[in-house]
Amino acid sequence: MGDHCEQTMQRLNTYIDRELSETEVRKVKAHLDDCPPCEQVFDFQAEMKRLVRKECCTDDAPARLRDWVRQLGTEKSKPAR
Amino acid sequence: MRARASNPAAGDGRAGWRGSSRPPLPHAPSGRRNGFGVRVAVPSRVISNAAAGDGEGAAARRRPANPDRHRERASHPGHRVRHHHHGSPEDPDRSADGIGAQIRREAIRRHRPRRPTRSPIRIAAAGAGVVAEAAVHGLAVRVQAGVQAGLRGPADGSGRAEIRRNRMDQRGVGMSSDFSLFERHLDALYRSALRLTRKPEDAEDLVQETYLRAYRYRNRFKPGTNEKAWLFTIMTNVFRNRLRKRPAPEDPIDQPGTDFSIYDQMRRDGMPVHLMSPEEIIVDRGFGDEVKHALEELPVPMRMVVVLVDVEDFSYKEVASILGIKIGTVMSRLHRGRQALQKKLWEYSGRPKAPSLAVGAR
Repeated sequence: MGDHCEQTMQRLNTYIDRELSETEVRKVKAHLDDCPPCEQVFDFQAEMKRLVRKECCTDDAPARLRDWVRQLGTEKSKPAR
Repeated sequence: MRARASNPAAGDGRAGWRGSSRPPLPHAPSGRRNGFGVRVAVPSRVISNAAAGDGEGAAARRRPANPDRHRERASHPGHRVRHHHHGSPEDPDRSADGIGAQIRREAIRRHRPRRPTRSPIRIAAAGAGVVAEAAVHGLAVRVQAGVQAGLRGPADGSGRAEIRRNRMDQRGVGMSSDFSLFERHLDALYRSALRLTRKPEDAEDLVQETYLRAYRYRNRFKPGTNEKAWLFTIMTNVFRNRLRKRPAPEDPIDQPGTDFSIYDQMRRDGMPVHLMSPEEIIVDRGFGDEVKHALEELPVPMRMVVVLVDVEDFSYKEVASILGIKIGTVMSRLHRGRQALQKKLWEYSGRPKAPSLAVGAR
């Protein structure tokens, strides 16, 4: 693993979390285009992040909780008696 | 980010919860409840402590204009409240009922505007008799400044009631649209609450408490700022306070600093990882809920960061603000959390060994 690979790997998380500046993103992309092993790692970890989100987004709030929140939200719009 | 600055739960520290009589979960044995068994009456000390946590409240504690009055108020929190009701028989709150009635009463009594208006009318209506109370509310400097500027109003007993009416009027305007802003994040809060508490009934309770607080402190939310981050700030604080009060047995941290990634592990095992997606490796081999289970087994600090970044898509900066930690801490917890998550998932997937198709792996 060369210096470039190491530098790029240090930006793995910040890259897939979109926390890098445009300049840094360009640098990382340039390296990934030239380095399939690094690109595979990045693709894998980005896919991993998507998987975590996808698997955890299946639980919706129960209907009664939704009703309760809605009711709470309409409480204060009742006219003062 | 600004959500931290207006964090209503941050000051709700140990003393507040320990001092309160609120039973933890999920259905309180006493107190006023709504149709879902949720106790809506919250001890006033909780509210006082929570309010004292922000800048103005804390400042007010350091500089009470009249220490004796301050002490009296602190030791008899209910006294003034009863007085108010006797003094204003037509108070609309008296006959109010339903979910938010008690909270509304509390909120109106205890309401401390984050940015008290400098309107001459308000200050004039307040009158001299209100200055001492206003000092307790952290308003002393501004109100007194107004008085010194010649805005003294009638010093009759109507001042306080007038203020309360003004506050109620403000509250009635445009509020329904405000709260629907919060309502739309219910699913996000609930799924994250599930990952944090691991149990549907606890998650539901946590979300209810979060919305009750959001409702109570909704005037502290600054329109135009990130309401999702604001709600998550409340929820993670409530959750951490509950953990403190009732610690759950914690899984030992997976050797912090130990590098692990499924990718590397599969490479070591000679698997053609470049030909497989994480989904094929983890989900397709298992029974469906591996990712959730693995996430729920992470130690809480890592779990919160992974949930906020990976599931809720908050930025590092937002997470730092929500949890009150440094961005560097967010990054290191995220890094370790992801490694620990992958290690769990790897264990769940039955440590697949190199099959015959592992030809392409190097």
